Amino acid sequence: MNTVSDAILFLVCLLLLPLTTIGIIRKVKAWFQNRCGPSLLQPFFNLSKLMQKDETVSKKATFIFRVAPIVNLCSVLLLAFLVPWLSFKPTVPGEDLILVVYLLALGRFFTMLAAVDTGSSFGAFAASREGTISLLAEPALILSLAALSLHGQSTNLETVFAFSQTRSLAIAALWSLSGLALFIFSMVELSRMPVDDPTTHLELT
Amino acid sequence: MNLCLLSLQSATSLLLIGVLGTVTKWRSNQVGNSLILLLSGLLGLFTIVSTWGSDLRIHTPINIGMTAIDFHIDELACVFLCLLSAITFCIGLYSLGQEKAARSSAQTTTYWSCLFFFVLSMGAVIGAANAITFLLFWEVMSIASGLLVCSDWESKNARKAALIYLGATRIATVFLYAGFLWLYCATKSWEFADWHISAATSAPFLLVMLGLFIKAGAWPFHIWLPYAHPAAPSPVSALMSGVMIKLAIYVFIRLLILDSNIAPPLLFSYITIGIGTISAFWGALFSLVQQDLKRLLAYSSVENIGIILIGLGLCLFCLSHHFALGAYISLTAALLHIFNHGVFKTLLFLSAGTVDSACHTHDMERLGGLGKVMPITTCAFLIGSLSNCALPPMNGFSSKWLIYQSLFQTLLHSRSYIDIVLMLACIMTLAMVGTLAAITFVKAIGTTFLGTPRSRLPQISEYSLPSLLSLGFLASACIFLGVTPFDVFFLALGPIATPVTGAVAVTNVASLPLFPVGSILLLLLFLLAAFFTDRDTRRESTWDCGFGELTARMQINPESFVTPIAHIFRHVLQFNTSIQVEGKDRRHFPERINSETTMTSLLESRVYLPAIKLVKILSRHIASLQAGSIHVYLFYILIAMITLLVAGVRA
Repeated sequence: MNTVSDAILFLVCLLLLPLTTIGIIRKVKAWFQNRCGPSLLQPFFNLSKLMQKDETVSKKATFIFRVAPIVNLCSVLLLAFLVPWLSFKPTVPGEDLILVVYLLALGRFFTMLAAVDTGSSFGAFAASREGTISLLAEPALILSLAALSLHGQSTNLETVFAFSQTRSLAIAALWSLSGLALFIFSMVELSRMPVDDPTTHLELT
Repeated sequence: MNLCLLSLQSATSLLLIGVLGTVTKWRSNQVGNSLILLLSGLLGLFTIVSTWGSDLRIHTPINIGMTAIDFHIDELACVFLCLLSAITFCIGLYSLGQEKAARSSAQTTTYWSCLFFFVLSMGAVIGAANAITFLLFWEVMSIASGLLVCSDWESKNARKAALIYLGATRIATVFLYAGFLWLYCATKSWEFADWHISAATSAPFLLVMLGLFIKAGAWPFHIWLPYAHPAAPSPVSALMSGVMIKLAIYVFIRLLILDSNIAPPLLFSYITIGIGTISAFWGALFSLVQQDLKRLLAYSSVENIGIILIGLGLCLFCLSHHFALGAYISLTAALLHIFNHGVFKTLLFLSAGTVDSACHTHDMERLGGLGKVMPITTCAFLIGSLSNCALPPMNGFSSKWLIYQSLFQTLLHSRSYIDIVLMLACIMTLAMVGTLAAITFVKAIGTTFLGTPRSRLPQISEYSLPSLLSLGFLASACIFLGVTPFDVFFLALGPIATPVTGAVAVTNVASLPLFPVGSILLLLLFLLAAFFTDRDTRRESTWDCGFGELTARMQINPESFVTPIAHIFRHVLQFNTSIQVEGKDRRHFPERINSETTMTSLLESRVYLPAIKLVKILSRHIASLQAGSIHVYLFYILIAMITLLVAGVRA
């Protein structure tokens, strides 16, 4: 019974949290800029509006342009099951550090290809920038996760994030340093403010 | 047993008949020769299936000098024979469709007879039981591949490439000769099985290792690869990159890892890991900045050889530290990566070959937009690239994951700080190499298959079914090997490692569920693709900011795509950009902008060219010994006679 309720809760989170997070980020950003900001539910309205529209694809684009968003969606859906991000997440095999990193890379690979696909110079330059930034960020991600997994004696993220009971200054330092690195990496990966500004991403289309 | 001998003999005789046929012009058309390749590949595969798990020894009565030509096919040889046969089969199938490849009849004769000799000698090198047999066929292999590299001998580039390649091969063979002779003196035997690493034999083993690294194309001896691959026809590049450079690795495994009774010295493992790490990084970085599709693939082979060497170095390291689990995983990882790299690099080279035969160029500055006219080749190249970048669910990922895993296991096991730093550096390099490869292949796909053509390309002719079948076969092998569970690999490759490591339980360590993850990923992909693609779609031209249609020149070119990264690594690449703006009001109304980027290979300009110059100067001085005067020669003979007499009296 417990597992069933956990699974339902997980699915609800999976459906609600991503868009709500976008809403919260926009709201916070708006407050910082002395604006009121859109409603928290605005991303849901946007999505429902976008789903009703038909697609416009460049004449020059090949099948890769159509496949890229789907591959991205697939890889994040898988990641949602593989990364231990909720305590009631159903346990699945394969919660592996390297698999997670390379699934992220898979999505990025297709995003970059789709950007080049239309033959526009904007898209290609954006892809080049995306690649350059990821080149600098990805080794940092792997190394910070590797430090944690060394401490946890395993590359299985479930084991790594099952916080060890021994409390010492060294371990606290390790966790906070790795956490900081991961935080900076997520800023890069999500193209957030200090690294990138998502409101200028018109060119990636 | 008889069945496998029979199929092995028929494969060999088929290839020999092929050679005879092409040389005597009895039957030398493309279709017949391709069929011979295809059939011998199939027979080879059949041999492996029937010999699997049993040692096959073949003694021939032919005796050259000190020992007979003997063959011994064990599990390790089976793995490499399997790779060779599979790739030979695919190349046969591919060549079947390339009938229109324009060549003169003389070229065709040399091409096919050399190709048959090449395949045959590679098989013999894999099976060689002693050093003499090995060296004999190793030389045949080198010469045949050298001739194949310059099969387009009318072009200057091909001749230069063949010269560099043959030079590198000669130097490699010199080291091998020296090492083998030394080992013979130490052990009084030519059999590979009698050679073991010990304190007395580590120097000759180092010589052999050096020779093998040159042949494998590891840094800093990799310079022949980027010359040889663009010049060689694509099937030959595929064979050279997929199998030939791996044969050096094969001998490395056989001599240094499997035949060690005692733990190998740590020096070997540090050298191998170091060279592997540098090769991986160097290859990835240089492959990023290449403008030529096949040159890019050649550097990417350097990168993959580096990754394989990291695996083998780790295996040596674990053997020295008596860490059986690490040795077992890393050897399996390296073998798996050898096999996987063979498959996906063949796929990439053959797709590049299709592009080459359709457009008559493999310069990316002049390609573009092929995805519309060659969708299947594009798909094949995409799958090969995904594999090469080690992205799940392709086969590149499974072997790279195992390499990462062996690094982690070794890291957990090692206690000294130097080792920990070394392993962490390896992990970081692997991560960086993965990203570099991803950018490289985005560039390669983006500039070759996507966008619009950068030059006036010829009418792309319809490509043929057999070639596409071959590409499809390799691409599905990439996916299939990518979702195969690790248990299968450990079951298949385990018997190779167990004699040195002992039986090891790996289930708790290497437990990545590749099959469910890969299949769920593919299934999701298909479902979502089916859901999304039946939507209404409007086709419009790309947004041009209102300035009118975008032209091909407005696209990014392969060079500017990688300029940011080239700039980061400008000291390694010797990357310089100079921009000259001309005109009266240069700032606002430039009349002419001239931008030039230069890159020089430091290794070539600072190390190899001076070395070649030194050799030239030395040989000029030595040449003065050959004075052309008969009196001087008589004097030499006199000196030689006296020396011999003195030596004889003393003995």
